[in-house]
Amino acid sequence: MNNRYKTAMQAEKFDEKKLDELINVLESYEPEKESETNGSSPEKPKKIHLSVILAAALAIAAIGCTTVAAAGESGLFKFTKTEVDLPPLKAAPTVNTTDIVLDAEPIASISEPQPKDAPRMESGSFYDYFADWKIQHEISEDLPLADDPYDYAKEVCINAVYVDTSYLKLPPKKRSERTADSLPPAKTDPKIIPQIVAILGDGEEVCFDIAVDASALELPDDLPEDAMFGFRRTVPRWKDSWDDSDILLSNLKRIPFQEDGIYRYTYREWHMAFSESHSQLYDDKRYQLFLYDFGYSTGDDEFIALEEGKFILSVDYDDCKTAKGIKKVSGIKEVRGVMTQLTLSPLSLEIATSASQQEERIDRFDKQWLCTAASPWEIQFYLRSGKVLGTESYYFDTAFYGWETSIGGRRRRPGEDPDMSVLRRGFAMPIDIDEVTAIAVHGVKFELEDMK
Amino acid sequence: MQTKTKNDHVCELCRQYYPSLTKLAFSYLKNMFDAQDIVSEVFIAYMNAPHFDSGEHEKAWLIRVTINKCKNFLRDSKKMRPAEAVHYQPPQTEHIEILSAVMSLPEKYRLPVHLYYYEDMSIAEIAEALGEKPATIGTRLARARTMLKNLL
Repeated sequence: MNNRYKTAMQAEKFDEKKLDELINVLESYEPEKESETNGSSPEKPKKIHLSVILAAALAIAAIGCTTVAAAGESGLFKFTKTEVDLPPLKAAPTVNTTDIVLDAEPIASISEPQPKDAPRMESGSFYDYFADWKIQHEISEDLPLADDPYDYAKEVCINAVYVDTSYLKLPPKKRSERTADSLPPAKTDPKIIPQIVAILGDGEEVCFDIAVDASALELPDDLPEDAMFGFRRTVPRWKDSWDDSDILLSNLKRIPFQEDGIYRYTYREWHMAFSESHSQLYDDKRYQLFLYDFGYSTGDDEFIALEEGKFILSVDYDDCKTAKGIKKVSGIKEVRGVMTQLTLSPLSLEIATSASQQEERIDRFDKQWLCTAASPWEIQFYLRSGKVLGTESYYFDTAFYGWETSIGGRRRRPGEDPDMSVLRRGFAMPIDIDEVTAIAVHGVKFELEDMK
Repeated sequence: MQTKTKNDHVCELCRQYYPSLTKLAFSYLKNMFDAQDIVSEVFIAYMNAPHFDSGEHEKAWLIRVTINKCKNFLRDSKKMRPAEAVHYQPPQTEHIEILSAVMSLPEKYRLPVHLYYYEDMSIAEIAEALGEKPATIGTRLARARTMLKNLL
């Protein structure tokens, strides 16, 4: 199906001579030396006036760029998926230690009490600490239009996440250790306490669930209404510098939930060290995540630091390599006229639907002009405890051909899908699937069975 | 990473992503000349960027920095030329209608439309790149489609 916007945009030509000049500049460009001090703060690069660079480049002959044009028009994203036989699920992921380090000073042991004003996460009461978190319904400012062309038009979309830590896999005997280890150093008494509360991985990537206790933080009176809290930047251990301070909260996605000063984030990392086949290449046994300066940003991308410092969350690689060796699948049921089947794994839910039936539901406007559309899906998880998790609408791409959106939004091209009769979508949600007994999609409940 | 290696890598990235990033900047600025300058700055900045462990982070970085630099550019030149006052002059192509329609959308709708329909980014990816909630992006796309439907 033709995407006319893409075709039209591809017809927009740019000056290829400028590209040649840039390539010439880049070929001879000497990057700035990286900071020799491991713990130094990231610095912005020197500003180089573009006109100077391009003027210098004019002296260099232009080169052919047929290859460039051909490569460029193919689009930014080319993802592939490799089927991997995953090993059996290990025991619940564990975190041996979680250190908080300010100014890159290592902490031999952390045993000092928290600041008096900060809520305690006592040993054994970690779940209780979060138990009172409640469903927060935040009505979107942009409700769907009444005349929206597709089927879900009149549904009110609710942006909310029901945060229930009971699904997090935390081995009981480790709770107290982590809690104790997570206490801040007494000398500095930081007003925020970040800690990893759960780790899940699938052999290729790892997801950290991070909670930040910022209840001791004094918020300014003139706090903008659109303030979005988070860290100035988040950098894995090998990225101890970042060249653009405008990149706020990169890779640290805020779950739109906070209560009593507790902020919750997920952080995902693709790194070969987490791969079963490549993990032996990494001698370093620990994974470190650097968090710089907690504060808030606004729609103008301005970041205001409320608590400056460098926080290091550190865990063993082995704790990051818990593979999802088990799945749960449902039977096939009809959801809004489309045959649907679900597959649940610890990091994702895959929804397979009939491609032909799905296509029939796509608005004619989409077929004619844009090919795809985005629409909300209502999904609920039924937990063994009797709770229902998830009341919000998740947005998926309702492409009517073989896109596959997997964890983190990666896609496959239609031509790479071996089964074009089925649409598969996935989304990220770290969850203990042992606790999930059923899933409802648009109100149709699917009972799940273990898949071995 | 040695200088030579990094230069080669960035040149390779430039060849691969320059057209797409230029189109992204163009969709933001409605001006190809400015768009190319912006993208050049992005790759110069990338020369001093840290090593990325995955191509996805790399692409996300390039997209995010391109958007930021476009924002900064418009902010700096706001007094001289308000962004929305720039009138797009489309080329005479078969699909001129759709391009003109998209370019007439307000920026908050135009950018998600471009990223979604041209770059094939998912809503989650767009939300991350623009610092918005996925539901907000989904709603903006829905609204943009309604506007486009009326225009077309």
